[in-house]
Amino acid sequence: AVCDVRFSGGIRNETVTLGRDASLECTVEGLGNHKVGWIHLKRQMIVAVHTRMITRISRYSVTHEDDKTWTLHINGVREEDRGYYMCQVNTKPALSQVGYLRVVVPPTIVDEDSSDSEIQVREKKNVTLRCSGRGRPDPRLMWRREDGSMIVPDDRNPVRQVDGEVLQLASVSRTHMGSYLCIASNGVPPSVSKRITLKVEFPPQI
Amino acid sequence: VLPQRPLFDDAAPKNISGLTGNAAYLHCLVHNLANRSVSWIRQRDLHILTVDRYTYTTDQRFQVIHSEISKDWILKIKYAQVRDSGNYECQISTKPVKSYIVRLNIFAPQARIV
Repeated sequence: AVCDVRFSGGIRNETVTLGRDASLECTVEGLGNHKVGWIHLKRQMIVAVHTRMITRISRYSVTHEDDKTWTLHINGVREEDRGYYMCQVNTKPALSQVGYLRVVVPPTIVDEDSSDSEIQVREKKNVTLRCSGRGRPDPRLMWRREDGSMIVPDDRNPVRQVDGEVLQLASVSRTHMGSYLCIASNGVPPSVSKRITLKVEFPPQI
Repeated sequence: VLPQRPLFDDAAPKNISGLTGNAAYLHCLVHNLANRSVSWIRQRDLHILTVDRYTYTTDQRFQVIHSEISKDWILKIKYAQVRDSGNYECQISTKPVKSYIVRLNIFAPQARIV
């Protein structure tokens, strides 16, 4: 028998923030008595067959409208949910198409891998401030002074902002004192920052 | 008391050979299944073949054989063909899933005139 089942469109890829709900739509025409199945490719896990949930992960569910639009819902998305999902119809041969679920994670600053929030150093010494960020995609890190003044990494070259995990200050003087902000951002709101206060000790003067 | 986790019995052969035209039987022995599902998937194209005792594929050569008193979930492939050769996965719906892979080799019989 000629089989008239076909997909009426691709699965639209979706980007979702960790913890939010996601859904992927598979649109089919002429399904008849055939069934739609969902598989998560990376975990090679059968998620559902028709309206029956096979996975025991209760965050997953399936709804359908008029046997045409089959929607896979994922509540409270986790990182391991990312990846390609296959929508499969049990025709002979089987029809299948895939769509990608991208899971993004807002940035955080990892305190254990970052400098303490208060640092004391003697005048004329070099000092290194560190900041470690996590998130998906990997966050970009930048340094600014809290009061908006210029950062002076060395004698010559004052800058508004320093990019990267590390801020190196050479031969610090009392003008370096103050609060530095490490800002982590990756396009997924909200950006976060950590304040590191630098105290420079100098001998008493009369 | 901890709930017992399902596990595969390694006694099920991981390599099955047969000749074209015959039926092939792939075994999957599961202990402590409880209310979880057992599915068979063809790895080549990730085609779902069976789910529990339900046959999902409309290729009518495939069938699952299981009786209530048995631990064995047998995938039967009637009139096996050389193109059926490959890996088949018996999957339990745990979190994460557990898989038992069975390799099927189907050969065309060779006639030789002596």
